[in-house]
Amino acid sequence: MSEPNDSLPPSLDRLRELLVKPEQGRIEAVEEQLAEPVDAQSVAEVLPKAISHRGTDDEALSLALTPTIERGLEESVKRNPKVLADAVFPIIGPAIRRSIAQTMSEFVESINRTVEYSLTLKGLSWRIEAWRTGRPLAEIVLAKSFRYRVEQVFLVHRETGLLLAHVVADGAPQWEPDLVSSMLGAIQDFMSDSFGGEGQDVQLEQIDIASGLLILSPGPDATVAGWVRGTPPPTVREALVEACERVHQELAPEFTQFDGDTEPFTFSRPVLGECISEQATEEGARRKQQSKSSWVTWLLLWLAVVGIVLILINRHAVRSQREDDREALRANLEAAPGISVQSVEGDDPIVLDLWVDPRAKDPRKIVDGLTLKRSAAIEITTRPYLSADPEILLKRLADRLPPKPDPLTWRVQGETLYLKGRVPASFLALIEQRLPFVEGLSQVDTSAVEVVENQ
Amino acid sequence: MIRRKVCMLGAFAVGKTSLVRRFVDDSFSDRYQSTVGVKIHKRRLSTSAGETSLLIWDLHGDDEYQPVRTTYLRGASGLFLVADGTRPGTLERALELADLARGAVGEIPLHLLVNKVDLDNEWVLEADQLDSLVARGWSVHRTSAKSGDGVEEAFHSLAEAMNAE
Repeated sequence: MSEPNDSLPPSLDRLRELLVKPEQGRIEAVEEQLAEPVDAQSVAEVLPKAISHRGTDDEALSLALTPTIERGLEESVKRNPKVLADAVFPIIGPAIRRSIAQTMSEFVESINRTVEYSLTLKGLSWRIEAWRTGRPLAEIVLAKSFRYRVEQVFLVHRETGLLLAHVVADGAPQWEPDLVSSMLGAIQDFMSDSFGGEGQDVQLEQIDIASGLLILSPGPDATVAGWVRGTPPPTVREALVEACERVHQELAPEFTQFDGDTEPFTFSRPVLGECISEQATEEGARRKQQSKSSWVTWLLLWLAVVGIVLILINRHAVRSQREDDREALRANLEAAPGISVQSVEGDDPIVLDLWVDPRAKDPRKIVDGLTLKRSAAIEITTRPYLSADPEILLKRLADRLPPKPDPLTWRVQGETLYLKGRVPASFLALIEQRLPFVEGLSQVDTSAVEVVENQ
Repeated sequence: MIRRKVCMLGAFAVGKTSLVRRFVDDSFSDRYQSTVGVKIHKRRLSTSAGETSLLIWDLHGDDEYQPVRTTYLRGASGLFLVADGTRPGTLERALELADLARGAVGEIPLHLLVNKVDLDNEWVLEADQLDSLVARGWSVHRTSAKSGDGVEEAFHSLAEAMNAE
């Protein structure tokens, strides 16, 4: 509020008031603000903007804040190192891994150089392989060197040593995981108690045992421990560390609320399962593969060969037996007078096409009397015909005559009937009379007969 | 599955290991106890809260040569204090260990097992002593590792108490 000026007449004072009163009010407000200590709220409103502005101009703000931040961090670590350790844990993990990867890369380079001048037979073979496959020599060397298997992975609660989750490789021997987990916790406590300072945790990173290696990746709330047989490459530890980070990231609320119920941590099993891995040395794997494939190939090959040979032998034997059977049928039927074999075909049934004289033997009886090498059905088709077989011709003649007297013998050759011995005149006359009616005979030779008078 | 860490504390030769042997399914070999001072056992049991797996840490007998490592108590959900009914000093020591344990892990279910109840002739603890502890809120169990008396009941009782927490 402006003070009235006594030296001025009231009218001028009134005029001044009319002219400058708004500005005077603002000046007074600014004066009041300046007179009071700094208003925190006002500063808070502008501070982010101010820091942003100042930061872009030069490094003065950073320089000014550095000592304070350093002291703050130092004080925080002194008071409770866990807070800061927990905070930077997700960041520091990848950074360390990158560092390890860099170290490994240098290590690989070193091996590369070492082997480059190596004249050993193995070194030479690795070089040839590197040249052949186009892979860096060092990669081959490392691949040859490593042979391992991650068999079990445990997620162990750090404070209690309780087992939160557990995965095991197929076929791997299993211990009682709860006891292993707790014992691991006990050993960890024992180490901290024995070798750590007051309230300081000593973190085990690896436990070497003759039969294997327990690699531990500690996190703020839980440790991921992998049981490995053989010599693992750095990627195994990296996988465990990554799993530990992911478990902490994904299950942070579950860790906070953990009250002994391990059910929520079953969700970590896929993450832990990714750590299960194995690698035989390439040489070993190839040997194994070769030996396996060669064994299997040889077995299959032998089986195939033996199988084919057996099949061929069997088929040949069967075919041969069938052929023999057909021949036997043909021969036996052909041998029977009055049967003409037209064809013998097929395996089962064997089909016989026969011409059969009415005075021939029944072909079915002949067939049934034979013993075949391979059993088969036999179908017979017959057609009647008149056989010129001498035996049939004599039967045909005999059918038209009375019984032949004993002193007389006869035989047929071509179409001629030859008689021999003594023959009654009447019987000879009968022969000469009937002969024209016997199909296949046209004449009779009586030059060797002695005709006797009828008795 | 609920898992609980349980610790057994008590003076030397009060029968902690024998009590645990009476109760458990699986154990690690005895040699661990002499090397790291603790032997771990496991027992699954059914409680009103569901299947509970007890991981029992049998701490090495407390004596002048090897004091109890309180680090092992970290994360325990329950404690057994074991005393020998034939040696009154072991009860006093159990009560001292109880204070030590509370200092290390805070207030958690804590049961007192007064062991060797089978040795009637040598039993020297007065009933009044134990009754006064019960009156002060202690959960007291008279047990015999030899006969098994009271052992199952004590472990089930502690499991229920831990799950109720």
